[in-house]
Amino acid sequence: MKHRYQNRIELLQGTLDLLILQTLRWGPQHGYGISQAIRVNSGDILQVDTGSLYPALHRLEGERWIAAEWKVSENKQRVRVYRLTAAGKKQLVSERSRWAQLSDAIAGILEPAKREGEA
Amino acid sequence: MRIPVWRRRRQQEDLEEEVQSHLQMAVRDRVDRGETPKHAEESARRELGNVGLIKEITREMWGWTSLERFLQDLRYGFRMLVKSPGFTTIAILTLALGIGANTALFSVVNGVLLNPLPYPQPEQLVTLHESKPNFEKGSISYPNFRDWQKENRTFSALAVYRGYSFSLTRRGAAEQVRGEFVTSDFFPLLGVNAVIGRTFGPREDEVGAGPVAMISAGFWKSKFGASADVLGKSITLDGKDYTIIGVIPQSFDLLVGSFRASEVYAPIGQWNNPLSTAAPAWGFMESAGSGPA
Repeated sequence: MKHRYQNRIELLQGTLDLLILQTLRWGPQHGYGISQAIRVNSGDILQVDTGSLYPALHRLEGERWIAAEWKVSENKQRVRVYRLTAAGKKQLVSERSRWAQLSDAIAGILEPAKREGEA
Repeated sequence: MRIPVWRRRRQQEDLEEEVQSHLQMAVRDRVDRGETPKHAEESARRELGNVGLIKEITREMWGWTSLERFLQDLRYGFRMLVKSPGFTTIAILTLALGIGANTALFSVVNGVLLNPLPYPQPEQLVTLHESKPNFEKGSISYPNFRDWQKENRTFSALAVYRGYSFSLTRRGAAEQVRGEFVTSDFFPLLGVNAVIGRTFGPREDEVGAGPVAMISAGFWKSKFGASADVLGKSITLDGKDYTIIGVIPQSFDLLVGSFRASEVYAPIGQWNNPLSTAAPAWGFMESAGSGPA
């Protein structure tokens, strides 16, 4: 059971980090807010699994790419709010370019004709 | 990422609260969308998944799961031991015997080689007993001891003691004090010198000699405020006035046979006139001797 979960995290890791960092680009957000934003902005296609989200948040915090702070929400609820750090912004840039390379490469494999046409 | 152990509980609680607030926000959103609170709660919980697992994986991110695994292993090991009592018993007995034997051996080495008795030539100190039909290590009567002393060619010195409990009067309220009757040779044999004053002289242990006494350092402090003019003062023991001639050092401690470090010491000749009393009535003594120097 545990191994299945860890594999899932590994699969998602690269993209989930990117998605979290990108979401926090628009301002500090709590965990639930991040998962909702990813779901809405992907047109309900990407559902972030809670079992992956919190480990990822705490890992990113450990890397000091995001910082966490307890705040009280408009509903008078104590929430842990994450914000992007300067190091996190740099990381976001490099992850985005890596993602661009990766998706280009995959697109090239899936649709070689189109690429030849472009060239 | 290494987290100090003392921050662990705090972090656990934080994570718990974080997940709970996530759940509550999810429920509220669902209720806002028109779900019944009960249904919303159920769906949100299902969506959230296994809370225990979330926490477990997150904890792994903190990097101190190794300690927790170690504790788990300990608990597991303990359960396994409980499951097989035969093996456990043998293992524990083996360990106990091993440790016990080592401790015993070290105690002997420590006592004999590393920490010998604090007396001159401790390896030559012996205790002597008189063997009797019913007592292999019996006490010796004082007249017999005097004969031993006279005929002794084996030991450089022989001394004898007899424990006693005195009634101390005329120093505040009457009280019982522990005492030992000793022969004059007793303290010189052990190399014990008086802090102030002197130990008993050669003839002071004779029957009929003037009553003199030595006192312990503790007694000296509590009854005389450790004052130097204690020498020559008298204490009343069992109604008889003893002149104080010296103080035994604080460090003096001896536990051999029935001998105990005491508050007062008096020469054996003062002991109820032993020579004139019928033998069994005045009991027996143990003796201490010192081998040839």
